[in-house]
Amino acid sequence: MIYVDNSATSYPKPKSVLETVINVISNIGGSPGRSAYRTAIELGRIVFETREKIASLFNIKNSNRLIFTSGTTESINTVLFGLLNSGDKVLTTSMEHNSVMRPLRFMEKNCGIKLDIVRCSPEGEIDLDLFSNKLKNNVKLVVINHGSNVIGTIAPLDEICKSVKKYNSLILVDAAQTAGIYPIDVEKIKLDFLACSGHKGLLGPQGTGCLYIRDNISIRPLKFGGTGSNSESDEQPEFLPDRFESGTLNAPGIAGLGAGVSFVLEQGIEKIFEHGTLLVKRFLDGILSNKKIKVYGPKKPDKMLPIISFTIDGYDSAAVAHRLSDEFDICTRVGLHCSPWAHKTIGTFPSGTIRVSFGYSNTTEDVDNILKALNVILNKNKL
Amino acid sequence: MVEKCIITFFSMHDVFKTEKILKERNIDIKTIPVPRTISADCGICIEFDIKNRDRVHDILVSNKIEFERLCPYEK
Repeated sequence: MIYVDNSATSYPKPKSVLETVINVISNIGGSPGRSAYRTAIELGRIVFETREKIASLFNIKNSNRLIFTSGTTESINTVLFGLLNSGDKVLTTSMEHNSVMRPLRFMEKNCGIKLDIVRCSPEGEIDLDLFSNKLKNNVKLVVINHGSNVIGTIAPLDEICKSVKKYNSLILVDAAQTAGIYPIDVEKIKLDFLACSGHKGLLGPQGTGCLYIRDNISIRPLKFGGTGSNSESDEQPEFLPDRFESGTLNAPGIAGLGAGVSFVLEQGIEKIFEHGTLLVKRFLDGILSNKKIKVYGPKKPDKMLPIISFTIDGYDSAAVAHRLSDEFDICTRVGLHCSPWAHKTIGTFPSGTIRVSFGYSNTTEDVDNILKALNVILNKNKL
Repeated sequence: MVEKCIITFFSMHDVFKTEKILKERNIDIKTIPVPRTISADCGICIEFDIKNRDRVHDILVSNKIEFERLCPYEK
């Protein structure tokens, strides 16, 4: 199998992730953060260590500002529903994923927020001057997709955050595609909120994600309930991380995530990003020469994530993807990738694209085999 | 009777953070259930020798760790 759907979820995971999850489920039962017997304390310690590792990856000074969630979607919803009130203005871009757009649309219709969407270029690039100008309108929150899950464009967070701070707005960064793959330093660029998945670039299991909330920022929790702390009170605690972690944590998942993050820290973000660049360059060199294949996005291997969207003249994308899977066991994702806005921006709405998204486990051999498979499909009669 | 001190906390996060910092400074500690004679927000606490009381207190303050109480305890 050639798995190139890492933007959806990464596969395979490092062996240490599997072993950790199995060890936790088999040998360390119990409820982390709730009980005082040996295995519960051990599990609590493992959860804490994972928090510390992720904090070190993103240069978060105080790991209690790093909340565990079920994924980027929950993290984003926590910020939007926790921060915004009627009358607040939100500025975002036309490259956003539905995990951003859907809650914002709901809040626009039902909660009185005002939404301003900055149009990006077909390569997914933001017009920074236009963006800065719009910030003058008393914007409460900026929401930015750090890396496009459709075409791999990386947003220039340094410049964007400078503008945001100049106009005293807050910024939420959707780092679903960049966490573990591209450097993120929350202190350096003064991020207010960072949302990411545990199961993509951080190489953890599905059902894990993180939310970073800057010190001195207070928002409403999305979920209220038992936290194993302050239990005589029937009110949600104010202190983090407990405030945002009601209910039983996905401890086996978080432990596995810890092993994934250890792997990322050992390999180093630079090495991981360079590997992606190598594969994207090789793939682009292969398909750009084929006139029938239209490639979308920046096409700059060292300045983008290893994510390529393409369509083929005269071929149904779904049929091509099906043949890639059925005849060659190549796993791609076809369609709108939960980002109708991104596809409208690049001009592929509503039919969508075939997306190939490389991971750290993919090899140059995988790239060559995908190119060979496409050649076979294109040399036969059109579907 | 052995004279110990215990630190109780609001959040389990602070228990493990404190545990890590004190172990790094080679202070002998145990992470134990909170004794029933003491009530606390979080069900586990850190126990150490009373001779280290001042040193531990200074470490907690300098690392800005939020704790509920630091008090002597007779076992």
